[in-house]
Amino acid sequence: MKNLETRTDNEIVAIALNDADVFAVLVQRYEKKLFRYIFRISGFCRETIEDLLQEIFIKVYQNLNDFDDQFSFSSWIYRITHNVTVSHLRDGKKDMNVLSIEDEDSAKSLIELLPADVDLPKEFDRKNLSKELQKALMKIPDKYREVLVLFYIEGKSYKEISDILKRSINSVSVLINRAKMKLKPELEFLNR
Amino acid sequence: MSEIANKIMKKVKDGAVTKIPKWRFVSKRVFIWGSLVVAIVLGAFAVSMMMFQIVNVDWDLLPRVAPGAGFGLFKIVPYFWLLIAVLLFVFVYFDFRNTRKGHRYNGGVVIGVSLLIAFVLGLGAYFIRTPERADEMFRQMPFYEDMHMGREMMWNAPDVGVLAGVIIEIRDGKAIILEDMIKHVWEVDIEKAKIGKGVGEKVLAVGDRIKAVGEIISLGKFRAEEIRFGGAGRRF
Repeated sequence: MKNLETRTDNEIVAIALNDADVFAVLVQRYEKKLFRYIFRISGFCRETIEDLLQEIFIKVYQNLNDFDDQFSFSSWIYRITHNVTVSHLRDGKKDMNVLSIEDEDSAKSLIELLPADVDLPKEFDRKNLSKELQKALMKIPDKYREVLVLFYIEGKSYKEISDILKRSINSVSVLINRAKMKLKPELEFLNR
Repeated sequence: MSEIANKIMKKVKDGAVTKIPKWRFVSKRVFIWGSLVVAIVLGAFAVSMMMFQIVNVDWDLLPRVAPGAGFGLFKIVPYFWLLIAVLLFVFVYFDFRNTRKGHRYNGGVVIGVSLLIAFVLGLGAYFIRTPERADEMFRQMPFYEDMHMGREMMWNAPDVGVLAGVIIEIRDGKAIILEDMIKHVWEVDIEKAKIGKGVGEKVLAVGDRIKAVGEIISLGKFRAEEIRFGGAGRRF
């Protein structure tokens, strides 16, 4: 396992096709990332997300032969995660939690969403701000929230988002702009 | 390993979860691309049929039988093939989006490129007379024939000097008896008529479908200045 750590995702997939044990490396590599991603776009509780993660990794394993190494594995697994999560959201299974992801990077990325001229009130420390921003994100429609999460928090490029959401790059760009417009009124608390 | 990873790997090792064989994915891709090619080829065929039906219109007579700006054009649109083509291109659009990289392309570009391909292929089919042969074949089907007869009915307009029908008798090469599209019988004077537009020395025969261009001279009598023959794509 040790020398597998340095290999790329695509290389690991190629090995996992013949050696099922190696699949564990991919699970370990993506488990936390996908947990956070599902949490951010859905607000599901821990138990639901863990169930979804199992469903996702099983789907990934079953469909491993369909993976095309011309694409990035990351986009492919995010695509499957998107499909499973959206389908769960559509089923109305909203076992919601109050969002509170407390890692510094998320806060930093979310702050990038704010208009440049916003003067942050001093009483907003970084952690509170992150919480408030995530609450605001939960108030906008799923499709807008997801694209903002992918771009600003997950740090995906337009091309990667296009592969994950199965939309053209132009449409991703339009969606991000619209999502920012949708989020703006929800950030009114910053001007109070 | 985490609890989730352990659970998943246990299912994998126990054989409760297995990989779907590659051939199933390959078959799916082959089906998607195959249906895409078939749809474009059929789209090209529909385009060639439209070309054929539009080219075979007597454009010079159109303002006479369908006066008014645009009304004639509205009447000659080959709706049947147009509908088929639209349905096929909608299918091509959605089918292409199901390919691995289909989502990366703008919908307008996908439709535009497939239309261009279909137009080029359709033009090729038109020049090797595929639509002409196909039209003859389709005319054997009553629904297709009825649909096109309805569209061709506009060419029977004796009041404005166009009479369309089938020759039922020839009298000394000076007159013919014609049954028009609504089964009225006319005696048509062809003594000074130019026979056949661009068909050379064609001789009139009983059973020919023709268009007589001229004027009514009395009840049931028509004087022709020109006789045009029908044919594939244009019964009259």
